[in-house]
Amino acid sequence: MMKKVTVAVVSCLSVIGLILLGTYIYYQNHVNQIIGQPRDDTVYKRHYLFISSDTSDIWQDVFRAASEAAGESGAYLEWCGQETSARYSDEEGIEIGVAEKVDGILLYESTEKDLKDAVSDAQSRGIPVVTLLRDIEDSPRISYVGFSNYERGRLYGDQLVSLLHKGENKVCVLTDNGDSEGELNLLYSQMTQAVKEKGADGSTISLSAVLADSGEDFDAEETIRNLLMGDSVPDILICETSVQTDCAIQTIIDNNLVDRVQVIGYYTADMTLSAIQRELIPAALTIDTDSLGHSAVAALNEYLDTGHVSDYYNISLQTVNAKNVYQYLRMKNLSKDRSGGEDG
Amino acid sequence: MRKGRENRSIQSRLIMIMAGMMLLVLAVNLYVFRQTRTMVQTIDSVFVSNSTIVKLSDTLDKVGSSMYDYLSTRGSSSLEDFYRYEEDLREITTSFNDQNTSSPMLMLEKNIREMSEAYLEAAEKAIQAKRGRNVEEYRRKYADSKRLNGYIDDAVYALNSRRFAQNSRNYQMLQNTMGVLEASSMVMILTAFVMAMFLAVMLIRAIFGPLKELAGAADRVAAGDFDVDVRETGSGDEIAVVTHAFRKMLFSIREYIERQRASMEKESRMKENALAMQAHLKEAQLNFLQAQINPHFLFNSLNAGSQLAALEGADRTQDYLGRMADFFRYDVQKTGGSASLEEELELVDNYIYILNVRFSGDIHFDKILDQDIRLSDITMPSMTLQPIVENAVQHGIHDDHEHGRIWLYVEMVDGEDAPDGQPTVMVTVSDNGAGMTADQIMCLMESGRGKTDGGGVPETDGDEMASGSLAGTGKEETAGVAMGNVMARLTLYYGREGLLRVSSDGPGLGTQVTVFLPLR
Repeated sequence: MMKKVTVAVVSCLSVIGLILLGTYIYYQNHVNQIIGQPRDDTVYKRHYLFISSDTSDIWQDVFRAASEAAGESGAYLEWCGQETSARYSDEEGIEIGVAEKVDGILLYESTEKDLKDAVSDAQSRGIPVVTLLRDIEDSPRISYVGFSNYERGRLYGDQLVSLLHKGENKVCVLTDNGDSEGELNLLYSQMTQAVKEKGADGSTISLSAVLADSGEDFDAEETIRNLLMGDSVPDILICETSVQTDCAIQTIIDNNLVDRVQVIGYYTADMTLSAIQRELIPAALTIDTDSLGHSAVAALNEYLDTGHVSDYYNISLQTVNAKNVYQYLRMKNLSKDRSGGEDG
Repeated sequence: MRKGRENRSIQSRLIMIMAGMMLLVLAVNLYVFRQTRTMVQTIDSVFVSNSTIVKLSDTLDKVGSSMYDYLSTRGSSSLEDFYRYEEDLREITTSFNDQNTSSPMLMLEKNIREMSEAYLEAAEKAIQAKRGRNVEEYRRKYADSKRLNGYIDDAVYALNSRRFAQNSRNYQMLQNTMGVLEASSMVMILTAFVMAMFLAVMLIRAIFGPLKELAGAADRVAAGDFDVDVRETGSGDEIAVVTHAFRKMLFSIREYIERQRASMEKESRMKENALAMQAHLKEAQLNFLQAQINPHFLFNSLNAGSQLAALEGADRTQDYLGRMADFFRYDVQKTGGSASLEEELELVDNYIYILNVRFSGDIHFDKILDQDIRLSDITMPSMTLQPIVENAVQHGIHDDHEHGRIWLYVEMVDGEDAPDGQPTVMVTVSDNGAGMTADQIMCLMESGRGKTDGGGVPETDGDEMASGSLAGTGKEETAGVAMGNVMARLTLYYGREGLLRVSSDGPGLGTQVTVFLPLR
């Protein structure tokens, strides 16, 4: 009988002990998750601020690439206003960056032009500013990463040539507040030159520009709709931003203007690529967002590490049309797989 | 140690087990209580971060409003409030993260911390400008601080929302963990309870099992079964003591019984010895007496006397002594065995001769024999006819020898005359003497049957009958014994009853005794 009692007691105590141990481990694991510091937090030595009021796909991709590059170099990249879901102007963004005492700023000037003072203020506090795709003239920014309007105009011109019909072709370029007059003139001259050199005989273009994004909400969509539903519908519509491109594509689909208006888009958002695949639009110009993001962070790092940096980092432009859209998609997917493929 | 463990009393075992169980339940409950308390504290701490952020926001507002008050009124209390709230704000933001991490919430904390510092700088500059009466400066700095306040509010709001969402998830997780804790606690408590019940049952069995066994053993002992085996419990407690005492008592009782039995056996043996001695003594006496009346000695002596008579020429004496010797020789040789009818008749002749010598020829005896019967071929039990003739002499014609007559017939019968219808030798001894009543005949037959039913041949034999009849002992007793003996021996010899009949026409009308001798 003693043996039976001993076995029973030992068994019960073992069960209790196992439950205690299991509960303790379970509890500790869960409590650690709850009250402890996140276990896999990475500590960075630098804090960069990314300022862009344009949150379209192109800038999401640029931010993702720049984050990746920043992480690799030991820096944390924050998108100004993303956490707070507040919309800040570029100047406010710079002010926030100064107040947060960030180590560097990547700026895409989207709506305002007068940022020289803000950039100067930041620079004076030891916060370097790198501008992306739009430079701020006469500002103490340390570097500019982007493409030349010369190249852009040339690419637009090449595309125009393939779309012209005999006679006069009305070409309308959609602009926004960030475009300077000089940049626009360069663009126009390149397009005109291209048509002149490569266009068919008897084909001419008449260029016009429409301010599609003046900074007001929903400006682009209203402007494009008015333009395409109005009296003077262009034959070819050139978009400068991905938002303009999406609006234009939606408008020509909704109003059955696919055959009437040829849209040359900007950037290869999913909607744009789909439209090219379905031949709703002939082409879109796109940039290598990975290259843009990496170059921007590299510029900051170089400046902070050495005190010097190149004034300009060139990003190449590419035309995506029906001929190369599938290849482009394959390359893009490959690139996504390599980098994890998920949004940050 | 083992001996010490075995010698724990029931009380100490009960106390130990109960204490152990209480301790276990207490430990489990303490653990559960501690875990629950920790859980509650964790839940509290989860929302502490939220309360800290709320406190920051409140303090920020207070700094802003006190700064605005001062800039508006230049009041000293506003200035004091400003500095006090400024200190509070710094104290709160000091606890915030100041490192660049991959956690969005911690980065928000860092930003809030840095922006708060910038805000306080701007506010301080506004205050200084106000004190320096630099209107443009303090207005500009106030605008700057107001914008910064807005940025901080946005960040605080974002952080609060994130924290709240996270805290809600954490709270849910804690609730689930609490559920798991509750379930595991319940299982532990139930297990402890089951164990406690099991131990209690075992303990009760350990206590009452031996008691019941002991009670059962006591009952059996009371019923007379002293071979009960009560096992030692080996527990060393009070039950073991009682059990041990009971076993000792049982052992003592058995020993006592054994001693008593031995004593009684000894006494019995002694009595038996004494009896045996007495018996042997009597036997010796008997033997001595027998030796004195040894038939061999008797008939040898009689032979010697006969020879002496012959030598002296006393022919009648010689004949008498010779017949006496033959009578006693027959008695010795044939006792318990069988004889021929011829030999039996010779014995009867000798008996009658002896009696006639004694009674001077007054015994009138006649034999009527069937000449076709070869008397030497008929076997029968010995000492059958002589006792019958003796009865006829003793009881039939005893009172009147002069007129009394005895006849002995030997004839062959069969059919209705025979007991079983088979050819049978019938020997009839009849007299004309006293006769018998029916009751006397019945008693005579009953006594003979009783001796037969008692099994075996009655222990009367020829010697006893002979010595009894010749010595003239009590008539009826002698007749009963003799007839019973003859009847029994006839039944034993032939294996059947009814071979002896007694009849009489009544008192004074004589008696007939008929013996049937089935042919074998």
